[in-house]
Amino acid sequence: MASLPCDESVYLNMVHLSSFLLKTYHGGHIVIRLAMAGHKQSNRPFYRIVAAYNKRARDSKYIEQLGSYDPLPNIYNEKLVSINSDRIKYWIGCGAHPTKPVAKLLGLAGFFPLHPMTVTETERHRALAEEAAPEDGVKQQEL
Amino acid sequence: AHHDSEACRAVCSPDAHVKPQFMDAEVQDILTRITGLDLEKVFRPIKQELKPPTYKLMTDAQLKEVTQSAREQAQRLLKMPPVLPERKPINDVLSEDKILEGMDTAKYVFTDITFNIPHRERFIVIREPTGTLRKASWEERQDPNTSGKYDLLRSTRPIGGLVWYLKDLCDAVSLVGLFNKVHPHSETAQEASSQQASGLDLLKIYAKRESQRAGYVELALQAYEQTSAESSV
Repeated sequence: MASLPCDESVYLNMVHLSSFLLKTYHGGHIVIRLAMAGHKQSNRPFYRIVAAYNKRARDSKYIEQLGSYDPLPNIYNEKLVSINSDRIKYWIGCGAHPTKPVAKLLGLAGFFPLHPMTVTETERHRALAEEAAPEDGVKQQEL
Repeated sequence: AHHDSEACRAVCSPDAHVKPQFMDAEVQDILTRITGLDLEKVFRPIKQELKPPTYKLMTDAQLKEVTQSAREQAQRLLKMPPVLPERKPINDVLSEDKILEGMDTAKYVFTDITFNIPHRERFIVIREPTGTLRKASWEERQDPNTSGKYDLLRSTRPIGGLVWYLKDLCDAVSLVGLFNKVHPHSETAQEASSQQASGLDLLKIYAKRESQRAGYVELALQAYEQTSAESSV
């Protein structure tokens, strides 16, 4: 994203293509990110995929909800993610930036190409698991 | 419903000359007869707005007219929903990414929540822990809370379609043979609907019982033929 040659103002101009009146004082751009969905007191995370201004607080007023992500698996061992592909395409066309976790989710969905960090994380995860497994094996041998 | 009937017709047309199709007049006629027309059941009391009852004075002729229009209304209500070609199982694998293996113990289910897509056409993809990305099968698509209760009752709409579908499952029985079997059932014996259902159901599932049923049905067939012979004489 940093390598794009355009000026910030170009993004502001692109954002003004949308139909409602944007407040120009924002000076920021629109992002597609995960916002925690108000279950803060209940030790149960749930995220909304949301188009919002960059400068706003994570959970505060957003422009539009574009989906949801439930990080805890359900009884069928599935993590449910909903994606409003139509509207996501619209906001990306207006110049919104997806954040890293959203880009990873969309890569897993097949909507985007696979994110390189997903691969790196998988490899790290596998390396950790291998370290843990031979350790257990050694411990059992000692016992 | 229009969309479905068009799809049915589109699929039916290539084989129209090969075997009788669902939309043929004859077939529809037979299926309507099997469905039966039980006015009491069709117009059974349903939840309605509470209003005081209306009384009308009619002559016998007027009463006949009203009964006739009620029958026509019942026939319209009993119009059979078209039989769709059997839906093919969805097994599309969109991609296999072995590099993702071991990332997570749960699978990710991605649903597209774009507004104007009918439920069957939505993109629902599943990313497995093994890294394969595949489309969701029909069972996964349906709401986990819905249960399949198949009540086969006379004078209900789907029974015609069900009979049509089951005829394909009976390999040994030709189409006309099936209808002859079922007709003595429904016309001679005034059996409860569940019995009829079990007859068809058992045809489908249990080969053993089918033989017992076949014996009974043959008997009924013979009786029917006898009575028809006697009546013709």
